[in-house]
Amino acid sequence: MAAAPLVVLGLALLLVEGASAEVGSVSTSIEEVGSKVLLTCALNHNDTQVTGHRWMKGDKVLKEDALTDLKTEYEVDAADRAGKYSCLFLPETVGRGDLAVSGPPKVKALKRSVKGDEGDPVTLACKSDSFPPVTSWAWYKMADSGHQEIVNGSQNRFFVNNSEARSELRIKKLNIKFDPGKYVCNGTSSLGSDKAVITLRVHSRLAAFWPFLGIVMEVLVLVAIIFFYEKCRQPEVVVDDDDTGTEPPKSSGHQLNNEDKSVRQRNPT
Amino acid sequence: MARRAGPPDGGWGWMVVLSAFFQSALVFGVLRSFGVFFVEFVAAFEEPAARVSWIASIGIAVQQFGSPVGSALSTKFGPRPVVMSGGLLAALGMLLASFATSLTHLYLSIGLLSGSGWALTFTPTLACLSRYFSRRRSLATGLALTGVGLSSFAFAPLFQWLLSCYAWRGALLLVSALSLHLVVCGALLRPLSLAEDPAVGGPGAQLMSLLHEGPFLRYTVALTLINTGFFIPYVHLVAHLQDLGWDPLPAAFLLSVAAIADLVGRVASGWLGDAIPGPVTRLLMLWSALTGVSLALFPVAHTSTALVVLAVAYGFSSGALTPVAFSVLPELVGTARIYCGLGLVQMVESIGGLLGAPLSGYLRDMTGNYTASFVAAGAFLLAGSGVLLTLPHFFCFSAAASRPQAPGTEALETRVPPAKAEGPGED
Repeated sequence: MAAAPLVVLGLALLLVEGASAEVGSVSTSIEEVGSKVLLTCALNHNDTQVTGHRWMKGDKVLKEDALTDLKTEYEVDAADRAGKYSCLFLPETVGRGDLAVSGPPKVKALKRSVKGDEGDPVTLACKSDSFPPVTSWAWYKMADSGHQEIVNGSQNRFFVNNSEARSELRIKKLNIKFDPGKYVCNGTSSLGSDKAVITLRVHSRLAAFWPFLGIVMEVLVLVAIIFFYEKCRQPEVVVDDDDTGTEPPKSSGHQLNNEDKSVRQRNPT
Repeated sequence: MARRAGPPDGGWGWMVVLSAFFQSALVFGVLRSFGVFFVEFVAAFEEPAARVSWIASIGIAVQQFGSPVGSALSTKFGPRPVVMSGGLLAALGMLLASFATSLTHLYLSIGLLSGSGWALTFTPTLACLSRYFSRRRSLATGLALTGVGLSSFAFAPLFQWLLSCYAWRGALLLVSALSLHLVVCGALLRPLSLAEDPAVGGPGAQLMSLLHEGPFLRYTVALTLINTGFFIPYVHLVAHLQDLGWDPLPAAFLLSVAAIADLVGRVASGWLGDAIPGPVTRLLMLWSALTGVSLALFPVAHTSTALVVLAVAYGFSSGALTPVAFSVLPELVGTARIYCGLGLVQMVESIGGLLGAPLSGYLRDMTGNYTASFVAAGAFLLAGSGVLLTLPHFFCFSAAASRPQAPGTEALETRVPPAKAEGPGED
């Protein structure tokens, strides 16, 4: 049984043409069809009823269906093929096949455009779920004068944290002059390397200050308008003070008179 | 004298409605949409989501428990200075939060400071609204409370956009400026003095008199029970739907449908509360009973149509009970004691709100699904409606068809609009 994955790897070193393996009661095969790669799983026994299939790459579910066939297929783009796939026959105890499709690594940035505040920390991250896995990561900053390499601890502000499928570059205190720009993460495995570009923008502390000031001004103006409007109506009240309220001289009505009077009485200033 | 005999029911009152609308939007809309900030805080401070969500919990708790303070101060100084100071505090809290370097700073600035600001704004504004209206009180309250629902729609995308333009510090600064509009809302709360005001005395005396009043206490108990069951679906509906196998997108859509029903329910109930003669208590009982029933039926519904119908029913009836709940209070305690009354009610019913969600979560953990939680929520609501049956004038179907008057207002003069009878025996 241990020989089977080795056979797969051996054939995969050249472009994979039709390697197949048997794992338990599920037989798997990988076939290159033009620019796509076809993965097939077939169940060798059928004592339990199949209720569906699920295809996964690593931890991510690619496809799930409710068909009851003993055979299931999945097609992958040749460019993105490398990785560890598994096919599951549902319910999960029926059978499972694992397929490892080798190829050069594919590196993806978790967020291609990252924004941070001046003085605050920020994290840039890249991941790769290819097979064989990425063994070394390198980070550098793109500049006109040539790429500037970043290692763990550079300038005491840059810290790199690597794991097999993921690499993180954490910048401790963002500097608005030096730090904005394009950063590249480069992942290398035994079959090649790939990179992704992340654009970092740094916000100035004061960027939101002017809109803030504008809105505060607007609030003060509104409050001033409301108070002036009220004060402006008071001279009318002084004139009508002796009015007993039975024959209001103004068409605005009884209610308005009463309100103004009560305002005048209750005004704490 | 120059004191009004009764609420003006219009005129400047509509400006107060406007103020209450924006104010409930700025308090509850901000609170409800704060979730988008939490993701940023988790990343910026490297703290787990549970600790970050304490910010909102502290804010809500301070707002609710601080309500009596807001009420007492409003009785003494009038709502205008209190709400304006509350607005300043709320904005100040957000401003300081934009300079925070640790999660504790956020607990203190947003939770404590802004929470206190909110405590000084919400209750006084609603109480002031109740004093400005009597005939159209429910409609005015319903219209004002739509601010909560509409702002939840608007603020979440707005905050998301602010975060993408300015990162969280700048965004908090601008939310602070937004909250400063609470001061404008406060400025709109023109003081109103009503005939029965001198009779009830200062805040201390009012509080004591309220605590001795049976109907008021029973009403508070009823609202606390209702509040316990009220918030459960907001917290657990999506999880329950996912348990049933729904995808996140249709589940979110169902929540939106319930939210729209809630909005419609608020306005419709407000209008209905004023149009139908007799105590508004009956309507409150109707809506809470309906909410309770629709909640209890949730576990039984499995088909999509049934769930949608129940969601609409729940949304509509829970929205409908909010304005009516606020309208019952002036009938019980009179417009003079409304500030203190509302503050006390808010404080006590918040206990229900705080207990509701964890209780539901606990039931879920014990039984494995949400059936028990929904049934418990429905039971609380029905129990609350039951207590409402004991309120005075509930079964009074006399031809007088009059709004019952609280004891403190018997000295009212007859100079009231003849369309709706205000005093007992007046037809």
